[in-house]
Amino acid sequence: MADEHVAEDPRPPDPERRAGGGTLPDAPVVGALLELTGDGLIWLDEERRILYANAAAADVLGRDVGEVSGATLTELGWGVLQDRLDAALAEGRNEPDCMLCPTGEKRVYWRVEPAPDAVSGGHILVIRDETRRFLNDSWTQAIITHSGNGLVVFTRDDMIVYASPSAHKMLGVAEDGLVGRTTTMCELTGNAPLERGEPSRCWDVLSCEKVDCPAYEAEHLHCWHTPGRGECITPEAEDSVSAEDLRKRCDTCEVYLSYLQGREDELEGTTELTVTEPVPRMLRAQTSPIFNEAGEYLYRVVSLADITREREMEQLKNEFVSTVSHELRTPLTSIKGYVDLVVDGEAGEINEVQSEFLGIVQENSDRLVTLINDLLDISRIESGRVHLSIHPVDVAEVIADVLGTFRTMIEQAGLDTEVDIHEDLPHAAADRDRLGQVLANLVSNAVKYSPEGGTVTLRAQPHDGMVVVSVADQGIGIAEEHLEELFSKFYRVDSSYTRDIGGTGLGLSICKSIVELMGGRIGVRSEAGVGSTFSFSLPVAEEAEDVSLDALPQRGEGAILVVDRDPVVADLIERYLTRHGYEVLKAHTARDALRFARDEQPAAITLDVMLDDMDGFDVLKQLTDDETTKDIPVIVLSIVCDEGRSCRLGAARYLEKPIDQDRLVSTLTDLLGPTPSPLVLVVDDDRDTVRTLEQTLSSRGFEVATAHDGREALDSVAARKPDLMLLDLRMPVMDGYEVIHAIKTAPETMDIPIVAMTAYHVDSDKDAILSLAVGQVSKPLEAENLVLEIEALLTEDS
Amino acid sequence: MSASEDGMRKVLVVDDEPHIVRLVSFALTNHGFEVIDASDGERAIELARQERPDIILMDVMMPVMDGLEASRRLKEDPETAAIPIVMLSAKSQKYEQEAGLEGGAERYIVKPFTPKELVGEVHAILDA
Repeated sequence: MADEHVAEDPRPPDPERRAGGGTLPDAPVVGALLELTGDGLIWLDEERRILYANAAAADVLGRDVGEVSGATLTELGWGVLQDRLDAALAEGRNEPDCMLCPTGEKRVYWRVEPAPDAVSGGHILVIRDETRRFLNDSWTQAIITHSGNGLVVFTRDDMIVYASPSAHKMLGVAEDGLVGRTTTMCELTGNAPLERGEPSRCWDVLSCEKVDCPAYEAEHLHCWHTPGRGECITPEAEDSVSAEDLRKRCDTCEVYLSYLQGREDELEGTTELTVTEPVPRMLRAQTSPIFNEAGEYLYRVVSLADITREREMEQLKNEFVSTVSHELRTPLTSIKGYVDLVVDGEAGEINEVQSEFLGIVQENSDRLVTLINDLLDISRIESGRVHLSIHPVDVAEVIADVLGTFRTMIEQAGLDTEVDIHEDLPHAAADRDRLGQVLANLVSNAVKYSPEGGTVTLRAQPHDGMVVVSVADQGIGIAEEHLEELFSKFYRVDSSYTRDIGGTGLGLSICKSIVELMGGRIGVRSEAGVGSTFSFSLPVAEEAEDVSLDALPQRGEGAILVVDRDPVVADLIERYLTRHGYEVLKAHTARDALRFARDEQPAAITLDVMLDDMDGFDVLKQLTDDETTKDIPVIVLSIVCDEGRSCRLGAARYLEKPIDQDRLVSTLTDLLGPTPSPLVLVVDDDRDTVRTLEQTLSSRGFEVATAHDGREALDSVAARKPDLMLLDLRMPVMDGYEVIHAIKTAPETMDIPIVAMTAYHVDSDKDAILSLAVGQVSKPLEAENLVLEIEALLTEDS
Repeated sequence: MSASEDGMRKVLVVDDEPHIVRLVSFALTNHGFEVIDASDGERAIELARQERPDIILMDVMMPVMDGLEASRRLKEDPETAAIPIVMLSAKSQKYEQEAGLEGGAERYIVKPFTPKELVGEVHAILDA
């Protein structure tokens, strides 16, 4: 109606006036129509007196139909409307207006029009009660304004079309400073856009169940293809549609396309944003898409919540837990310490009952210590302050370690253990200490809940790209209704049963968090009366890090072929490499190099490009062209800087001369895996000591040979020269001094470093001999220090 | 390894909690050590210079000067640098322990400890 002309009285016929179609019915019919119309219609004469008003009009005015005829609006108590009407007509305005009724409870819409030609003079007034709609609008407005959340509505093209007052406040933007801007939420707040890979297309989703595409799970597997969801592919329909069709469909999918454009907050999802202005704050932005009835993607609504306080509270909670933990430790030190003194009899004799009671105090203070440790752990895990160092881990080794620490407890409980480890178990990508913590927790539970004579079984198997570890007991089992809750904090199956057993109720919750942090899952199966099995999975470590032993150069085969024209340089490289445990073959000509490569199948080749009989690059080409040698990695060593050419021709690595020993070795390690373990010969007549040292050293990656007297030691050295010797001085048959003498006077063995071990003061007259040994350690030995010392000696030596 | 005049080895115990000082002193005295004590880091440095203990057992959180600072200063001073220090602390986290060891301490023992364990550690360090 905005295109209507300004009313004038009298006025010319209006060609643009809109009119209904058909023939006007007779007056009685018109009257009936007027009465049925929802809008109030009033015909005013020149004096603005009411000539006619329909029932709807009387309703809006709040009068009986009989009262209105002949009256003015003012007389009916509607002076406000009368005044507005007069003003509008005087100024020649006729746009619709909305006003409060004189009594204030109604919102009235009104509009005035000149009466049609047939009724000269006078006006038609249209009035309507808009109270309900007005209230709806203002309620919505009030709800949006007063809800704590800020709302921002973006179009598909990233233009802001609405922003609530709280959104302005949260974002630190002046009122009305947002609407009309083209931006994204992250850009607006100065946060880096989220990184997302390309999502799978819907049809991929349907066939491979990847859920990257935001369209996934929208409703079943429907995509949000425009113009309507109705057209989308349902799993049932999938068979009848070709993959090509599905792919095409994705190309027109609004959601998919906008996703491809990398708009970080285009779609559904929750992100956290930091805002620095006017004061630093944390906002949680939750984005939801809006569709029209046809399923077209129209807008996205971002709901902003201020979570600064929440974050601060979390921080406070963590600091609190940490402080409380410290504060509890101090009194506990006194409680535990003094009780221990009394129990150990340091403060005089105590009787059996006193000892029993104090034992209970000890047990419970230990339990408190565990609780404090667990609480600290939980608090750190929940606040994301746990830093894992993920490395390839031999799970079998960790299992052995953990069982070792529980040996006494298992024996005391009268239990058996069974360990079943898959023979080709790959290394897991995990934090070794944390993995140990999880296993210790599960084993400790299994031991606690097993009846005497039961068996605790540990298994480790590869499954579907994961390493799955399980700990099974033969305890009372856990009823099904408890299984789900088992991993929640402070949950215990039956307090009457667990009271004797102790524990904090946090262990499994911690295990779950740790396993999940490492990218695995944890679960439990249980049968009442039969036992429970807790299993968790860990990702398999990457191939490159998981060096199989086969790749290591072995004696006589898979050596490193060193090719260099200059024998001095070749010898130098040989020395570097043998020091690091590699076997070396040397060739000084291209001809020899190619022959050795084919016949000896070295593990790797170092190749100098300056050869007399052929260009090194040609050698490289021949090596890579030959079926039998093409897989041998070649490291090009050259003073000619041509890395690009080397690599194009198939060199695995390129190193510039002069050769850096460390880089050469690390390059080889990269290509072939670590060098063979150094061999340590342990010599002691005490078999227990030998066994302990053997275990410790092999767990640290040393290869170990053993001997129980001097004679055996010399035989062992003759059979295979060790990299280092740990030698007891007091032994039968031939003592340590004689061994040192023999080793240090023979030219082929004099370079073996010897660490002498003794429990007694060394005979001063033999100091001269002992001085030939590089180190001396006293018994009792501390394994850790010993290993460090050995490592230091071996590194020094090379 | 210096021993005091009567041949007993001397341990300096530093903690602001008198009960803990008494606990540690009692256990060590029972095992033939001479014990002297201080309740803050500053006093500990003074005593270490005067008395030349064979080993120092040091709490971390103390008034006036904390244990980490005191250890650092003791290790910087050539006169006291050789005295082994064992930290005794309620701070149990790995990074806190590392901080203690970086400050030059030989060992870091988390509270609560048992007296037996502590005596064992002192023996292990002094008899090494």
